[in-house]
Amino acid sequence: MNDQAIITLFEQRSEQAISVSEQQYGALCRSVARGITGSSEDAEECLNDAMLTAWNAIPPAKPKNFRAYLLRLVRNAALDRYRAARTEKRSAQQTAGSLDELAEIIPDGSDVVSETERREMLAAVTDFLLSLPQKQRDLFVQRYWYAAEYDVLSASFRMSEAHIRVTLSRLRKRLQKYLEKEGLL
Amino acid sequence: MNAVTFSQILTDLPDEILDAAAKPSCGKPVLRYSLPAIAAGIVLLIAAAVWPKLRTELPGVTEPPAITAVTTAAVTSEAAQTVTVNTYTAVTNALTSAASTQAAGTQTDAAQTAAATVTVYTTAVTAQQETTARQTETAAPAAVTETAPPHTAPATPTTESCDVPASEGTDSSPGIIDGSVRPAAETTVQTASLRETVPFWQNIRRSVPASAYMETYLNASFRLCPQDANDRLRSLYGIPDDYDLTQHSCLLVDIDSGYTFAAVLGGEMTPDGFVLKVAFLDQYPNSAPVIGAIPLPDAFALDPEQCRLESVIVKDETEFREMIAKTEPPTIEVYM
Repeated sequence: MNDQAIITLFEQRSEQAISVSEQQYGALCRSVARGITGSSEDAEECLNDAMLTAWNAIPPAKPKNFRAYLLRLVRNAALDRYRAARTEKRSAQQTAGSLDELAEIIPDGSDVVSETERREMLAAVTDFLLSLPQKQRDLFVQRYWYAAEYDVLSASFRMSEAHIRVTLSRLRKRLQKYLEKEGLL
Repeated sequence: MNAVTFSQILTDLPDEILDAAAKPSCGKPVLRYSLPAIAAGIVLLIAAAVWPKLRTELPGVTEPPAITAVTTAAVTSEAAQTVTVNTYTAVTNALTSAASTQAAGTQTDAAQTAAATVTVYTTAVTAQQETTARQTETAAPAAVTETAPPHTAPATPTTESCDVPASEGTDSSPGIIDGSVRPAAETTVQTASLRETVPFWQNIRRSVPASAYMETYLNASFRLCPQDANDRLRSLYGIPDDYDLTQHSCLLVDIDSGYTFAAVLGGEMTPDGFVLKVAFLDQYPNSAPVIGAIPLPDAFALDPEQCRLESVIVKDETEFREMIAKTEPPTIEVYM
């Protein structure tokens, strides 16, 4: 079933919309959430939260790209859950490797960011990614957006894990320098 | 700002970037790899000519059991960008003599496309080895060379099992890209009332220099193939394009080891779990991965966390080869 048909189900308030969405994108959503929260149980909760949000939002919302829309909802839910867990000092139990890696280049500061700052940062990161060769860009996005583990990346990109680690480390440093140059860090 | 906030900002990256990353292109320039592909092709041709002789010289190695047809999933070597299919097909006539034919197909995929599926059917009509071969392939246009040196073998009863010989990969040395692979094998599924054959799809990775691995390591992971597996993932694990993952389950096997060579011996699958038996040759540090997929019988619920690897490590190459020969074809028994 294509995305448009799924959205139509949502608009018709058919509960089949949830089951079809889960069947189609559930595995990917769980993978992203698990990569961030480090917990299968939390990932399941994130998926449920995202489905509920989608159910309440569509209609009137009519996402052009339902897959990306749903993944964003899951990702936000997972990040919220991760933040809450960290606040409760349960972070030691978390295994959010990708976030730890980003913490190497993003100085630990306030959670509160103005909308202007957020937009500037998003534009800068987008420009940075678009300046990268396709493969490096995909690798970066797979790791820091889809929260893919190194063994998965190794299999997907047919590169050794060591090679991927080195490549991503260099990309992080390049991003850090770029953001510093743009005055965003 | 902190990493979590930054990551939350990343959530709003444009759809184009996200969609593109979901299907990353692993293709490489054709010209850049044409020379290694040609070199690998020559090496494989030589190996195809030498291997049957070496194999029959090994003590205790018997000819493979008779079969009627073998379907193999082709595997690609990223390093050499070569698709190789080695299929041993033994045939038996109704009387006392039998013939076996070894067909080795070497295909150089210069277009750097995804894994091809090559099907070879060989049927013996008489003892005079009248054979007909039909070869179909779904791949980019590529040159295909095929040799079929026939030789006589003892008569054996025909069964439904299929045989694939051990690969010549044990000849690889550290630092050399290992383009050889144990060919995709047919596995036998046995149930209380049902007996069927399902393929064990297998793919390869290239070797890396021995200096990269100071200690021998062995990691194995099992997971169910996601229903929405993209073409890249399917190609990597050798899952045929026409295998419907939304209808059938598939177990993905990833074994990464620092041994010289690895070969699947077989396995046992029960409702309580799955044990995959793999032999490792321990002569010098190398990279010997096993990447494969096992189609699960319908209505068979298997928890990947209950899957484990049973390893047999040997130091003697002859013993290793004999072990592989004895377990040909590697069978995975399913008890439901």
